[in-house]
This record gives sequence, structure tokens and C-alpha cells, in this order.
Amino acid sequence: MGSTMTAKILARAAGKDVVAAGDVLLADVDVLTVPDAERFIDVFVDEGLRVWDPSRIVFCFDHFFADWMPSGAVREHPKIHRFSEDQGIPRDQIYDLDRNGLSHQVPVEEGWILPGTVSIGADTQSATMGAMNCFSMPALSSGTTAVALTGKWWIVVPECIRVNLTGALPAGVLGKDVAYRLIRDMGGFVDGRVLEFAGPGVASLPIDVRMGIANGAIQIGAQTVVFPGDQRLLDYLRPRARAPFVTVEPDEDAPYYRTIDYDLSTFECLVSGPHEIDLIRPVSEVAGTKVHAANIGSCSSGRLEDLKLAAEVLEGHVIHSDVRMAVTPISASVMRAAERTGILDVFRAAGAVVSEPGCGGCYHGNRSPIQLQDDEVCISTSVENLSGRMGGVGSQIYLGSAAVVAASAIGGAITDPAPYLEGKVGVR
Amino acid sequence: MKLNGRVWKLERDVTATDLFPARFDKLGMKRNWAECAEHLLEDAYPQFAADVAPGDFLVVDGTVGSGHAHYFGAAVMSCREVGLSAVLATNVNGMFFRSATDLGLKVWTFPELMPLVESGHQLELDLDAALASNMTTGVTARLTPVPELIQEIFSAGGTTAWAKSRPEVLARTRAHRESLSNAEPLQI
Repeated sequence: MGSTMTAKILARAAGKDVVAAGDVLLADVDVLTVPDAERFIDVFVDEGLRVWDPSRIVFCFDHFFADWMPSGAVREHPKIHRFSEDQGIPRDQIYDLDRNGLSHQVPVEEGWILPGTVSIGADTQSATMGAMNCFSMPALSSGTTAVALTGKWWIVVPECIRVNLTGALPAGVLGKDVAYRLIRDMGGFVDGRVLEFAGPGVASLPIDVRMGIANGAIQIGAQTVVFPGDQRLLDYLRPRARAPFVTVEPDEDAPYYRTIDYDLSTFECLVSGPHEIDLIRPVSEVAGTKVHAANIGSCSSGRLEDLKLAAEVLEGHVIHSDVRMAVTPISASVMRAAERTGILDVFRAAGAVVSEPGCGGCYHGNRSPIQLQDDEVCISTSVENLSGRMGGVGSQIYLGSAAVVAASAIGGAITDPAPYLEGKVGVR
Repeated sequence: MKLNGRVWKLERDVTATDLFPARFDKLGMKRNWAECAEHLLEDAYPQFAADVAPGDFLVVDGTVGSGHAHYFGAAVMSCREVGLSAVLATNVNGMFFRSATDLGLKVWTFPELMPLVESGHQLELDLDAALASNMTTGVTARLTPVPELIQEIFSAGGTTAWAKSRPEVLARTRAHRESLSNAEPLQI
């Protein structure tokens, strides 16, 4: 019996030749990625504990914005600097202002996350890094402290589902649309397994789109996803990888719980919500729903491919007078690239505010800059649409791709972006 | 490790939001576990939260813990708050298992247990011997053993306590404290 990519990565990390689904392992963690809203530092400080390896912990400032949440930033950011200095974590492993961004985006951009490795993220959406042909999981609940102490990840080797892709996505369809299709189709049986992507269609997907898909893992119900280590990934990693690596591929006779085939050309723009992430409908079914706010950003969008497509929709248009719109690039480097290519000017000219990089309007706990009122409706690219996530508990959050949000901001109501994209896609 | 308690059995899937209804999310966000626990299984098993006693088992003849990970923390901590000995199920969602184990709630897959117990029965679970004894009916069954590493984490009461008790972690902490106490005193 052969091995899945997941089993191969975990076997290497646990020092075993072969492992199978159901085996219980202690895997060595290559990198621990941490956002700026994590309690484990307090435990370490209070109890005089030491991290297992200061060279393998990366902090990214993302949740607390200096402009919108100065109190959080003032409290948390110096604390992380003090902690890192005390623990011997090098200063350049703290991605502070001007280098900052999401805690599962910046470590990828900066070449920390490599094929064949195990990375654990303190943020719930950390499976995003699985786009790098690695095993990457969120340390839900209280798992971060144990990883920081031991550098080990206990795990029951999960079963895997193979997602076999052919074809290519239609113009205007993004990773978020793929993730929503998978939530709709697979939510009933994923049940904590791992999705492994395969097939000729993978090559057509830009890395940004792969990360957008992988970001949906936890909402799909998967422990994580693993993308193959193909040429496109190698090209992406070449200028940034911090260490040598070896890609992993599944054996031909690897055991899969199920194999699902998808023709990417059949995907379309989907909208989730309100209130329930798995209430997924084609944009046409909810078109016309009036919106008061529009938000582009967060870890499930806000990458250059997302911003580029949204700008293509918005170019030559202005935002509806009843709508307020915020755009938050996912990282400082994406923000710079979007600035350089004129994308941010398109947003500003259309009437949107562009914030510093980070979680943006998605930030939980009623501190979203969008601050929805009880009778308001928002269309957003963000992760969650739970009641009260972005303001009043009576407000409604619909989620869709950056293209859907941009078109809806123009129309003042949920809108299919396709007509706005005719003749424009790929121009920018 | 031996666990003893009364059985509450549900013959259906029990999702994270069956354990902790989503409409009480605000309590979870405030980490108010005592109030969260008052709503444990409120819709699926209405008398449960009021009548459950410390040491009781929740037995699920179905899958436990599917659904949205946002609610895992509140669901797990509610179970801990009422003092459940363990949640034992035919099948356990992998991510829910991870959250529960990290947070010190014993959750395990024991399909062999399902024909053995009904609600109200008194159950004794010997994890070391992999034996389940129904003290009400006198019937005993052998279970698939819980792997040693998981038992270690169960015994420690969660992953954080387990990690702190590992020899290399204790040694590192001790060495650091010694280095601080051996440091040259400050000249004032």
C-alpha cells in the first residue's frame, strides 16, 4: 500500500519510514507562525518557560492595526518584541509595520514554508499554507503553547480525500469561489479528513488562487489541504525559499477515503450567507439584495490576484453613493505591488478607502472598521459571516469573491461581476 | 486510568453546535464557560444540562464534533465545565478530537461500546486495560486500546500540561532559571 502526501510528510517529521491513517505520531514542527493576538506569550512569561527553538517561530502583526485599533497594537506589539528579545527570537522574525501581514501569508511570501515540511499556525486559517506542498494546520484552542514548548505536533494520521482537477477556471472566478463549491459539495463527508489536490487542472491555478482555496479548509471541514509540488510552485519558491527542500507526491496506490473529480471550467461565482457559511448560492440567486457596505481583504482574499480582478471590475466606475467600501491588502508586500501597478489608485478613484495591510474588516469581536449597524447588509470577501462578526447582531453579512464585492459596491446591491469584466480580464 | 459515571446516550450525530448552540456565541466569545455550560445540548437533549453530574459519560452512537470549528472551544469547555468523564462515540471528527484533547476533554472512538450501554446505566471505563464494564447489567467488553501518547495527554489534562511535564521542557526551564540565579548580581 502506498502513501498519501500527508502520510509521507508526517512520516518524515516523526522519523518513521512509513505511517498509515490512524497511527498516532509526534511530528517535528519546522515553523510555528503566530499572529499578534495570541495568549501563549502570557503563559510563558508568567511561568518562566522557554521556547523549543527561537529560530523557528515567526510573528506577524495582522489583527491589531495601528490606525484602527491603536489600543490593541500598543498593548500587543511591544509585548511580542519584549518576549522575542527575552527568548532569543531574532528581530527579523517579527514582521512588524511595513513588513507585516497575515500570519499564514507573510511566512509563505518570505520563504519560511517549504514543501515536505510541517508548519503549525496559531491562527484558525493556517491551513492556507498547505498550498506550499506541506502539512500545515491551525493550532486550534490551546495547542500553540505545547508547540512552542516542545516543537512537536501530536497527530492521529488523518485519512485523505483526493480532489482531482481538470480544465481551468473561467475568467472572473477566484479561489474563494472554489472553496465555496467545496463547502457546498463536500461539507457532509469531509469530517476532519485532509484534502489532497491532484490532476492536470492544478497547473492552471496561480499560487494566490491555491492559497485562497486552501484558506477555506477549516470551513470545508478539513484538517488541512495539500497541493502538489508542481513547476508553478517551484517557480514561486525559487527566489524565496530559505532552505533546500524536497517536494512530495502521492504514490500511485495511495489510499484515499474518496476521490472527487472536478472540471474547473464548471465553477462560477458563489455567495455564502447570511449568517451561515454553508448557505451557498450562485450570485444570480441573491443578486439585487441591497448592500450598505463592501469589504475586500482578509486572509481568504486580499491577495494580488483578488485585488487585480476587483480593480478590473471597478475601473471606470464609482462606488454607489449608499455604499461605504474598505480594501485591505493581505500583506505589506502585496500592498506595495498593488500600489506599484496602479491597482490601489483604481480603488481610491472609485471611492474606496484603502487601509494598511492586515485582517481588515474581518477582525472578530465587533471591532471591524466596517461597524455594521443592525439594519445593514454587507458584502465581504472575509472569512466569517456569523451574526455580529462585523458589528450589530442584526446586520447581515454575505461573503463572495473580490470580483463579486467590487461589482456589488458599484451596483449598491449584490451583483454578478461578469458584465463588468467583459473585455477587461487580464488587461491589468 | 479508570473512569466511572452514569451514561447519557444519544443515537444520532452530535455536532459542535448541538453541544453548544450557535445562538449563545457571545458567551463563548467572552469565554464564560459556566454560562456556556448551562446551554450544553440544549436543543438535542433538553434535560441534559440541568441533570448531568460530574463524572457522567456522554455516549454518542454516531459522529461527534462535526461542524464549525469556531464553536469547538465553547462546546469542549462546556463539557469540561459540567465535569463529563469523557465523550465516547462511534466516530469522532478529527478536528474536534484535536480541540477536545488539547483542552483536556477525553474524547475517543469506541464503536464497541454502543451495544453495551443505554442512558442511565453506570459505566466503568478502564483505559489502561481497554475494558468497559456496565455496572448496571454486569456486562463487560474489550475495547480497542487508546494509544499511549493519547493516554499521556488525557492523564496530564490537556496538551499544555502534557507539554510542560515533558523531560526536555522541564530541563530547559530549570537550566534557564539556574542561569538567571547564577548571573552576576547587579552593581548598584
